[in-house]
Amino acid sequence: MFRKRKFEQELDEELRSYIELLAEERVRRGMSLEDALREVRRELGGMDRVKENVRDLRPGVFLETLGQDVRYTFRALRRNRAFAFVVLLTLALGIGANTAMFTVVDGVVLKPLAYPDSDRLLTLWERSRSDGLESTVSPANFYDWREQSRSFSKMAAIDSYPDFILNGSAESQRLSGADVTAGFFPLLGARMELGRDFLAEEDRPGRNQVVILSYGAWQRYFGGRADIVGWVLTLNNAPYTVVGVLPRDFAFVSKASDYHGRNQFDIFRPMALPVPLPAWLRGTHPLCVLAQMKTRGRASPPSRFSSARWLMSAARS
Amino acid sequence: MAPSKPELLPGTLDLLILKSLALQELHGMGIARRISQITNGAFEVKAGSLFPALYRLEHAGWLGSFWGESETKRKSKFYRLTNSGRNGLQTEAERWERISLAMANAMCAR
Repeated sequence: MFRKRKFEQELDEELRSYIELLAEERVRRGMSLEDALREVRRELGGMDRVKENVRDLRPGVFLETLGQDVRYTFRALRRNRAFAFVVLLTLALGIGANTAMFTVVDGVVLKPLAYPDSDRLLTLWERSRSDGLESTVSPANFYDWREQSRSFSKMAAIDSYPDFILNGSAESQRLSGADVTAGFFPLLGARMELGRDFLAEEDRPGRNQVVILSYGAWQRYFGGRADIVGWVLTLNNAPYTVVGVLPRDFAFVSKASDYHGRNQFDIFRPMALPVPLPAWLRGTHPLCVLAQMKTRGRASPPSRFSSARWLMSAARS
Repeated sequence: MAPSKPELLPGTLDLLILKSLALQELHGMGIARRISQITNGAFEVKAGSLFPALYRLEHAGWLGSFWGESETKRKSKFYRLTNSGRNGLQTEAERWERISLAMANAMCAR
């Protein structure tokens, strides 16, 4: 601080003497001292500007002016509370909106899906020949694709339809459920927290009286009890044996959230489609089909997409 | 249209200040006058560029300063070359000579 004051004093003095020396020159040429001083000052156009130019060169001047700006800002804000409030509100809303936006974009676009080999994971859709609309898939097509297409190493389907009423305890509960084909959980890389995955033979009609619970449902409806595997639950008035519990970080978001505002499934059951398919199942299109592309050769994803698409239409026709 | 005075090229002001102080100690106005004199009035140095340059050169250790009296007995801040300022003047002058020679050749080339 002392050095700064000395610097200012010297600069003032130096510039004053500079002006006076210039004025003296004019006095010598016959001008009055007053006129000379006035003229010199006008020609120099303000000594403050010159001082600032010199001051700006001093080391640490950036921090000094920053400190001044900050102090001035706080003084101004304290004097005008309403304005300060509006400023804070604007900043808060701006930051909040940006954070929200980034969170969504990060989750939806930037982060890869939380599944293994997610760059090879696809959802397959049907397109109707008559009206060209995209839709979920009929079981018949799912069977054909799984047997005939050679672009995919794995294929599985989920039908988010069934809801289960859980009886037995004091109060009945409504659980959002889904039917899955064998191989659905391995496709998404899910290992059970407790128990086991569905067996292949449980994916058959009459053998599918088994269920897997989500981690959340296990906690919410069964208090997270460790001996849940092997329990027989009464769901829609039929007995089902719990064979497994999904890990906490498993997420498969359903398209429609239920009336509880939940958008994750509580409970899964083997789909157990009949083989051969009865005629009435050929006309329904309930399945969401997931598939994993093969990693053959070094083809880039787009070309593998299109070859997969070609093979699919061949399998359908 | 009257020919306007040339703008100082970057770096030339520092060199002119050093040159003006080569023979004697001068205060700020003296330096401005001397520069005007040795360039036959081609360069008029304004306070807005002179004093920042003086500060910069003093801070770099090329100039020293002290308070003295002007010829009219006015208290003024005088500047003089330090040893490193004298060396600086020599190397900068040589560099300038090369540049100006090269530029002159380039402008005369056909």
